[in-house]
Amino acid sequence: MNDELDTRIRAMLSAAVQDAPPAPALPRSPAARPQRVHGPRRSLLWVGAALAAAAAAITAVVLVRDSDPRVRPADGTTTTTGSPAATRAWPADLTVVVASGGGMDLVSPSETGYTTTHIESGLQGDVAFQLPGGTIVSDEGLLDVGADGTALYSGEWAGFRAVYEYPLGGARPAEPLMFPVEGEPTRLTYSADQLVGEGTLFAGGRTPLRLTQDGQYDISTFLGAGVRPPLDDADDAPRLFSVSASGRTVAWVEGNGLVVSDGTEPRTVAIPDGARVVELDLADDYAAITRADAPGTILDLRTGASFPVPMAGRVTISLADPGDTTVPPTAPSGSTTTTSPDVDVPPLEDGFPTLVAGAGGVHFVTAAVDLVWTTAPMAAAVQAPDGSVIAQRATGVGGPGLHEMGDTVPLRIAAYGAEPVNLFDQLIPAGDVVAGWYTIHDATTVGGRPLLLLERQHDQSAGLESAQGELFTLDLETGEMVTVLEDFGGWESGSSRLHLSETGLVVGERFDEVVRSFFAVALDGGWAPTAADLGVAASYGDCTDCPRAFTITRDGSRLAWLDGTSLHVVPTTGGDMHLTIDLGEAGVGVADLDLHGGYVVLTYGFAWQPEVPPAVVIILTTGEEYELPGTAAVAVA
Amino acid sequence: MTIVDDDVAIYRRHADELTRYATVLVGPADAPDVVTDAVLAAFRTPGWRDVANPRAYLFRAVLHRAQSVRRSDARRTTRERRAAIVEPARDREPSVDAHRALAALSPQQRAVVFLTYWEDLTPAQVADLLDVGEGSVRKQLARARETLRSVLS
Repeated sequence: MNDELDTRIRAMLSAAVQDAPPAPALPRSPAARPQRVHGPRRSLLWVGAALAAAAAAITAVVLVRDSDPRVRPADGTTTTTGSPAATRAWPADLTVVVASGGGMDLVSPSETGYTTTHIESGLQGDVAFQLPGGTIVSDEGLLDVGADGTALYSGEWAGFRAVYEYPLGGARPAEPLMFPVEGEPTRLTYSADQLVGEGTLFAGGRTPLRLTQDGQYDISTFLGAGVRPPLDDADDAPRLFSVSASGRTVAWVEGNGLVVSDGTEPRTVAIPDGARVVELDLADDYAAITRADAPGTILDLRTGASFPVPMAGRVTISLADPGDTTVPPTAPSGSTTTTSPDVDVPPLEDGFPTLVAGAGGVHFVTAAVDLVWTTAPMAAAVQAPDGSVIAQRATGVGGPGLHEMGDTVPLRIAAYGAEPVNLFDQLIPAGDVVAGWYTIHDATTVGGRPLLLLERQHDQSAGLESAQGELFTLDLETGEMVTVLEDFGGWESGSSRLHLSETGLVVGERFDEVVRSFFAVALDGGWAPTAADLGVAASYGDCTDCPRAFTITRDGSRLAWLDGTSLHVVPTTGGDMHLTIDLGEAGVGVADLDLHGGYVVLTYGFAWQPEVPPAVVIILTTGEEYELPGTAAVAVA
Repeated sequence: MTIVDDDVAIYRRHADELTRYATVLVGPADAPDVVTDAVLAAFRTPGWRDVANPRAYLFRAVLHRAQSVRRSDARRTTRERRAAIVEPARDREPSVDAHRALAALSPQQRAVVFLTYWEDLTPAQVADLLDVGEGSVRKQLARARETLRSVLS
């Protein structure tokens, strides 16, 4: 290519590339930053107990990300080491939690000095806190937790760094905490009567932050101690402004000292090797120092005595009483309904893991990766509990027609490989394949069994009016087939893609000619929600904006559907919560909806023809929309 | 997440070209963030150690990240506001016309144009790098050329 346009394009690129900034430096690996731990697959669980001022034990909240289906879960273990002969004393009334790449360690006082308890798994993010009652909590972005169960989370708002305040396990508010400074909050600590931290200024430099719980912004404590923003990044510049849980003690690091303000004249407590301090956690009478690449230190603010922490990692001071039993992060079985009537949008799982089928094959996609399982065009694909992919070249979803576009026999790709697979195992043996077509709906583990929800339609040899199909489950380990519904589908009737929850509920939409209706059935024949439970009509005529695309989350806790362009989400077992989010144009023409974590996956068709738009992912908290490399997509739990 | 020495070496090897690539995709203001986010996300991926072609993987990661940045309208508006508040020190004025021309293309088209005209890759090589079909690359390139023909005239 050598024409004039090419010359202009090269000149344009040359000009653009000349603006390229220097390559960014990667952040240093913080010492306390743990390896990502892949625990057993769990779902987001709402807090079941009421959060009162004199709260009882709070159920642990674990927010799970498991974006790689090839990773097998590791069971969390808790081991208790014997108390070593103390070489140093330890405060008799202090327990700390140390979070690191190896998990979490509790260091608590004992007769011989201290006892350490190691918790192998369950750490999310790089810090863990122990609440009153003994429960340990952690989460990505979690900055601090108060004794009343209020949490501070780092996040973004309109492209700026922000801090959000809301109860653990609760709904993130639409707006973050606001500070009357021209800058962004970067770190914040929580107490019952004030928030203390620091931020960066747009004009350059840093500033301490202090916001009382009644909304007054007041940094006079720091100004009176000689802290004058903007602060630079010199090693001896004031930093890590913090407050204890009760609000009585405020302190910050300055050089090799900790400046303490607790109602008396500010005083300085010496910190050995202050330049390597990377984090600070306060109690009224103690400070927990976290160091880069080295164990931390506990400072007794009354006496100045220091106590080495026996291991490296991010150190926080436990809020539990000495008699509380340690409750490591675990997932209670079953799902619970929230007691909060507010909108509850679970945080986004890491990278919105999604499996998408289309003209380009089957892809596993997150925000950062696009792994190609096969380049063979596929109309639909789901991921089995063992991580394998089950796909179809054509599918019968939505009734007759689509199945004529190709072979519908389900195919299986056992594992992801370095090269895309284009030869498959046939899921149903050739001798058992019926004359008709198949539709794969969904796959998950129900009652410990890996099940594929499958529909089979026979050729219409018995007459056009009779249903000729069955809905059944196929046990992917044993091959056992169990009929869910006989007389399913048939001429001009059928269903949407059906969704199977781990609780054994099948949810979707059925149609009979132009009449459409919410559909739900329990695999065990037990209770299943009805249209009345959702507050929708029993059936609808032919309309494009009627309630449709009914679905259930993988854990069975929530039902969702579209009404017009609005997404509606309710708890499966009832309750006051009802989330409504307008998806805008993206909600038009949706054929299938998959809700998981903090995102929805929208499919507009099950045939990879040019006129079928690509499937999209929408992040519920931010409204960000991601186009997927295919047409039929499902969320990957 | 711990960044090991091998990862740092891989990044250093490709940092400059990834940053130039990102500059074409999202402009100079956002290029560093896009590169950092994409590279760190790649390092965090459990299968990263098994990736046969880290360069191609990182190019794809940067493109994916650029696509998500572009789709976030709120963040684009805020970037403009940020640029007004904190103007980075520059020795020269940015080439507004070049970036304006690129803005007429989708991120995928910008990627194809950059790899074809700057990196001098064939459509087959571009397809391999971006893990798309060669036909898709040719189509994207043709559309991009049509758009640029009117924009640059």
